[in-house]
Amino acid sequence: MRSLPWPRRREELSELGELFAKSARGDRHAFDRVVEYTAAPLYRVALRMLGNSADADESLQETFVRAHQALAQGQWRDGSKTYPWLLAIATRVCVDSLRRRHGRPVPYGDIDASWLVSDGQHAERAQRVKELLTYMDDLPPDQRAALVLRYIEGLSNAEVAEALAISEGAVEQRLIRARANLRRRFGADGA
Amino acid sequence: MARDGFGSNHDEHEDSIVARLLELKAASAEARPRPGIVRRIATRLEERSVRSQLAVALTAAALAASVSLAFWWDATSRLSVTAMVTAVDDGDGLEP
Repeated sequence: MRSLPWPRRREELSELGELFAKSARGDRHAFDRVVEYTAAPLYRVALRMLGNSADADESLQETFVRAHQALAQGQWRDGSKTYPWLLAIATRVCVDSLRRRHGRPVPYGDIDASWLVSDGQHAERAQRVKELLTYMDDLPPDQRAALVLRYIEGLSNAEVAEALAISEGAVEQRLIRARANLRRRFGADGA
Repeated sequence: MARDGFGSNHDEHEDSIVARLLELKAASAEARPRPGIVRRIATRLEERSVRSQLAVALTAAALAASVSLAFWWDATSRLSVTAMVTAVDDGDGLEP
């Protein structure tokens, strides 16, 4: 399967654009190529937002189902952004999933960390990441999504705003609150 | 606090929260969906398409059934009225 961490090169974006255009015209094979091309990076976004592989897998499938439907309904225009458009859909799917489970955080011991790179060299890091995931589970969904998109995926505030369909000012507020919430949790636990 | 929420060039780089988030990024850098994701999504799209076609067929059937029922009801009502009028006209004891 061919996949990229983030299609940045002009020719990669151009190829993805062509696949989108064909998919919008009902070409299922082209849509399969879109899935092959973007599934891995979108899965990692979902994993970081949701914290476990089962939810990430489910959200990834739902993302592509919604994308297929949106393409068929003409919601993507030829020549407009491709990967950011998919990322915005994935973000909304993940936020919906977080809202459904918000208030029922996963206990530390129950966190599915099978996907963490945790060989001997990284065992301590894996523990710290599990702790972070536990605290992130307590954050409101939109704060968690903003944190992941901004600090992990490296989007600008404007791009985060576009993905979450909110203003840049609102993004900034969510980031400030999210960081404060996490700092409080780590402080309370003496981290 | 930096205006961009990230810390353009100073104290925010030291932020332990951001450092933890970057650890999460590194720890998940190799994560990939289970094999067969293209097939799973294709199956889901096919199921959705079948459900959608079924819903259209059921709606059409329900519409046809309700139209038939309306015709039957209308016809039955007309027959009943006709029978009553005929009975009165025939003087079969239904007159007051």
